[in-house]
This record gives sequence, structure tokens and C-alpha cells, in this order.
Amino acid sequence: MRPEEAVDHARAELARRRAEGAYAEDMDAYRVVPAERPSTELLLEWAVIEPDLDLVVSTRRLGAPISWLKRALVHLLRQYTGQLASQQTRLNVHLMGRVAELDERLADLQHRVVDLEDEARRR
Amino acid sequence: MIVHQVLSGAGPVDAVTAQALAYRRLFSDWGWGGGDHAVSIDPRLGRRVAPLKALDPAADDVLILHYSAYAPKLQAVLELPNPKLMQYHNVTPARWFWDYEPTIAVHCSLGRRQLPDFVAGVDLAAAVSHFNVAELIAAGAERTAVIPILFTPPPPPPPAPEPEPAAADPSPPADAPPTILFVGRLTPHKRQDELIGAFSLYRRHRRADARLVLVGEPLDERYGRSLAGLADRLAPGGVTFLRGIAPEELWRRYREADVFVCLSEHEGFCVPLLEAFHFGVPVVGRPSGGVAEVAGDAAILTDDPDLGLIAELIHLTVEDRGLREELRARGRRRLEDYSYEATAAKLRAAIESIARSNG
Repeated sequence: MRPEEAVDHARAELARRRAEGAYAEDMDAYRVVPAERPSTELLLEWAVIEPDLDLVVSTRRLGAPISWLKRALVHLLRQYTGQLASQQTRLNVHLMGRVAELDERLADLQHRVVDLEDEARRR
Repeated sequence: MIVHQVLSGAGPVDAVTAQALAYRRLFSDWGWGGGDHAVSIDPRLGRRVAPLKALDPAADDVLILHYSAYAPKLQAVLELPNPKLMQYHNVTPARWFWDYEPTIAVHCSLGRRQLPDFVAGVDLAAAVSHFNVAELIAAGAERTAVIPILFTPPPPPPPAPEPEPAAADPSPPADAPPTILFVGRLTPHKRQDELIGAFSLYRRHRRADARLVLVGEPLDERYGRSLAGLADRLAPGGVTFLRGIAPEELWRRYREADVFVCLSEHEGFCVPLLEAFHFGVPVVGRPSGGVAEVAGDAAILTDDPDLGLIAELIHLTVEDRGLREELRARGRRRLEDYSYEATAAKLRAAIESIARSNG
């Protein structure tokens, strides 16, 4: 057989075998399903950065003085870290605002398409 | 002639770095000087690649910019007055990554958006395939060239102790379990998930003893686990995942393969096709991106999404000896179009043309 004939030959063979009941599997099961995306509400929640100072701890045995030192450093650097957090939060919030707006517009458009299809069917 | 190469990142298993180092060997053979520079360098490369900040070219030195990812720090190179050639290795469209690795998706998206700046800032915009050149033209390129991947054929295998006289077909005996092979990073756009699906159909309806070998690093551990889970579910025990293997091991896998199947939906070039041709492995695949261009008439290509059809094509290619022979012969002819000498001549002509026009 020549390579140019292979696809047609395989297609015909597949059709013949399907007519006999083979290759009847549900093809959707044959793909990797991506992990579920975080919802818009959850992303909005994540957008505002609010680090928890209570989580700044040392896990070492007798780490209390180290925890105290770490928190003191965070406190001393709060002007800088506060700037970082506010800049990133500003970007996140604006982006999420745009996403939420696009979500709403898309939902409106989808509803409108459904309404127009219903109207067209009624005519 | 002095030619410097610039990359965004350089690593020991990175295809673009490998290509830049192959170019450097060629330049040395031609008696050309220069150095290779990158923004970020894997320490395993030693001194073969220098930091970008060490780049200090003389006015008429030629610069080659290898473009394969978002590279904001390379933009400073565009400001240099030197003759510049961009070699575009393609940036995968972001749509395949949003659901799996949003950070990579952002980088891909930025990499494609930044492309027009690079196209406008170089004297010649080259790419490894016509498919990639079309993207450069869409990004505004006026002077373009196709310079394929500089393909170095793998060395011949060590001589067999007792070669069989009638060994024209290097495939295993007909009763041996057929082996399907694909080589490429485990990523959503290369569709190893669909290949596992097609393979499982082939096993279920044609050859229960068939094996699939997937060679490549996963996009990330989670994606690698997803594919392994799919393989366990659909073809338990039938799929082997290999990563970080030595070239000799890779060549052995090609020699053992009965069919090379590439269901990738996006490829700028696809070097493994040439490797399959080199080892005489028949190819079945999708005519996506650079695949159709590189494969020419030497592969069986279909864009039909029906995985049952792919399973039947695998069966046909494994079983039909005449078809295998014809595909092998065509693959050998295809390799001549991508010979090392032919590509080296194209590269040299491109570099000399921009050096002349700026000289």
C-alpha cells in the first residue's frame, strides 16, 4: 500500500469494525482533564494581599526568640513590605475587576443569544 | 568574521542552547570567532556560555538572537548598532497552558506580543521552518529566511555480532510486541494524552501486547502525574515514561520502535521526526504547524480527531511491510533536504548577507 492510500484504508476499516460493534468507547475519557480553575469569587478573595503576622514563626525547638526576631524585622520593614503588598494588590484588584466585568458581559451576551435563538424558533 | 550569539536562557538539556552550541562548532570550523551569551545560565554549562552583561561586540560583529521565549532583557541588544539576525524557534501559543501552568501561559503570551519589537529591530528575521516564518511575517518582518534546525545525525549503532543477511526491514519479528514511540516534552499541546488514548484503543482492538514509550520531561510534576494516571487507567502496564535519558538510550529506543506517532497540535519544527527518519521508523501524525512541512510525503498525516482512526493507522503501519518500506525510503530522501551541509550553507549565506549589507 502507498502512504497516500493509508488514511482512506484505515478509515474504511474503522467504519467496518465500528459496524461490527468495535471502537464504541466514550472518547471523552481518553483525554487529560485540567484541574478545576479557581472561581472568580475565590480569585477576588486572593487578590487582596493580607499577610498574617501570626504565621511568621520559627519551627525550631526553643524558637520563640527567633520568632520574636522575625516579627521585629517584619515590623521594621513594614513600610517597604506594605508598599509591595499595596502595589501588587492594586494590580490584582484592577485585573479582577476587569475579569469580573468581562464575565458579566459574557453572561449577558450568552443570555441574549439564547433569547434571540428562542425568538427565531418562534417565528 | 566575528559572530556573537545571544539567548534568553541557556541550559544543558535545552534545544535552543544545543542549537546555539552546534552553530558555535560550525563557526569554529569556518574559522569565525565570537562568544555565546545568555541572560540566565545553568551552572552545568560551565564557561561555554557567558553572561549577557559580558557582551561587548565591535561595531561590525554580527549578532544572532535566538528567540524562543519572553525575553525583556534581550531588548537592550536590539539597541546595538551591529548587524543582527534573529533565529525564531517559535513560542507556543498560550492557550494550551492557561489550564495547567498559568505562569508559563503568561510568558508565552508576552513572548508572542514582544515578537514584533524583535522583528523590527533586526536586519534579517530567520526561522527554522516556513511555518515559523509565516509568524514572523505576521509580526511585520519584511526580510526573512528559513534556516532549518542544524540536524546532526546520530551515530550508527555498534555492529551486531552476527548480522542476518535478510535484514532489510530492521523491525522486530512479526510476533514481537509492537512498540509505539513519541519523543517530546510532556505538555498539553503535544497531546500525549490523545496518544495514550489512541494507543489504548490499538491495544484493545488490535494488539493487546503493544507498548508505548513516551520520552520527555513533563511540563511540571502535576501534569506528568496526570498523564501517568491516564496511562494506568487506559492501558495499565503498557506505557513507559522516560526522562533525562542519555543519547545512546534514546537512539536505542528509536531502533526498537515500530512506529513513531506524533499527535502534537503545535510544533515549530519537530526534530524527532528527522530522528525517526534517520532510524527508519515509520511516522504517523497530525499535519500541525511545522510537522507537515518537515515530514513532507514521508509520513502518514491526518487531522481527523478520531482516535480510532489513529489506532487503525498504527495497526496498518505495523502490519503492512510494503507501506513501512515505502515510508522508510521517503524518510531517507527527506533527510537529504535537511542535511547538515545544506543547513550550514543556508546559515552561512544568511550571516554573510547581513554582514555585507551592513558593511
